[in-house]
Amino acid sequence: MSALAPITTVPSLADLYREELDYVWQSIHRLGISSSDAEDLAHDVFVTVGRRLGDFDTGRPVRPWLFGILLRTVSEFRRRPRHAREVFAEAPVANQADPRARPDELAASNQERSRLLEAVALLPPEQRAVFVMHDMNGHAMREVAQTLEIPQNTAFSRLRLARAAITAKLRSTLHTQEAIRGA
Amino acid sequence: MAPEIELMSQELRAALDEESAMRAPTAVRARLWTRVEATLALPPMADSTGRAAVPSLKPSFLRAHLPSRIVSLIVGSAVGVAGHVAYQRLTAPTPISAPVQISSSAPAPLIVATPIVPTSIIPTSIIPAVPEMQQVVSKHRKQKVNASDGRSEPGRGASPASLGGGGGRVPLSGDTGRVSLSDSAAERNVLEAVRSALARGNADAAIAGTERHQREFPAGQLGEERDALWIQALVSAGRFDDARTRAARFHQDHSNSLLAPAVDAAVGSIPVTNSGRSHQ
Repeated sequence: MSALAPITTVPSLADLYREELDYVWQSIHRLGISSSDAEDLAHDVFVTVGRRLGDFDTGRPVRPWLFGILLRTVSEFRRRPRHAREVFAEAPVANQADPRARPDELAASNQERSRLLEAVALLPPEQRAVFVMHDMNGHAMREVAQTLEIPQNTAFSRLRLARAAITAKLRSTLHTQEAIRGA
Repeated sequence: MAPEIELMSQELRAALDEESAMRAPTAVRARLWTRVEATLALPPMADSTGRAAVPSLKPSFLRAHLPSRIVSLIVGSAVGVAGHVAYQRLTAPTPISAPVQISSSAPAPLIVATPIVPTSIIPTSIIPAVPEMQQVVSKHRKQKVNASDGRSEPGRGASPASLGGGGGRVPLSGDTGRVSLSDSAAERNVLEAVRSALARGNADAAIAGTERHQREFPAGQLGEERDALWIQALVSAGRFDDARTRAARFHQDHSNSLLAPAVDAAVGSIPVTNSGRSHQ
């Protein structure tokens, strides 16, 4: 099943789970949900998917639909009392020792990923959704606008703002690291 | 015409290029599917977390669903009243004329028809108090048991009190597709206990739990999950041959199962001996 292309029949929940769990899992992390909450979020997403399979429009690709459910689930999750103050786990995770040994060559990549997710997490939610969908998950802007139910021009505007904010944050982090190295 | 997207900065492009694809861990993959299946086995408003998404109450939604909800409410009330009447009839000291007989040659006939109340108003998705009846059967296997013993007929004539009993339950023949809420919850509870026993490293308790699940829910909805947990428990207990046998049967019974990776991981964790073969 090509996840970005329209499908002709309603898939089963098991098929969707098998093929799209990684997409959901990755999107959850990209939206700034901590690893400890990711499983609960993924559970809620697939439960909702299971209950709404009948609503799925087979003329449209599956991933934007999944992302829409994910966004609403994340939004509802953050409104719960214990998450009223947004705390993104990716920043502290970068400072924590991973109990499992990782190959050295992955270290730099992980650091880059952490910096990027840290910057994404600082975005306002509406910009974050556009950035994650378009720049990280590779959805077309038309799909982004449809999924978020916003005009396409608004989506472009949010993307521009998001890119500028993330670039500024990445530059600032790089300058800080260079200053530390130079000291 | 769509506006042109501003070009990405070099820093952003590099960061995006570096971002590696993240996959859900194998253990999460299997565990999560079990949770999703278990939650979906319950009605939408009754899941364990209470957090499953509920359709938004937009006016269009209300227009579409309110009439059906009202009809459901009325039908539900009628069924409730009928059930209450049936219960009162059932608990009244009515003399039972037809004796319940259990043949000594039959293996273990648990259900003997003696209609007491119209069966159409009794929930038929479950039969209760199987352990009680098994006790009766084993004790009086070679004797004739009369209904005057005070035992009501299982399933059809069981009292609501026995419906709430903690005994194992099996579906009535012909009703295997219908599972009650309490059955789902009870099944899930048994497997949760198995999971926590496994997490504590108490393999014996985990095996006992899976055996209990098989005994009490022979046609349960979570049989696949039980079998996967059973294999993990056997590996944990060091019963490697049993684990391998069960794993082979698991793949036969549940081909293309989402829990197959977890089963394979459990069997793959069996230590290998010096001869290069997996530990026996």
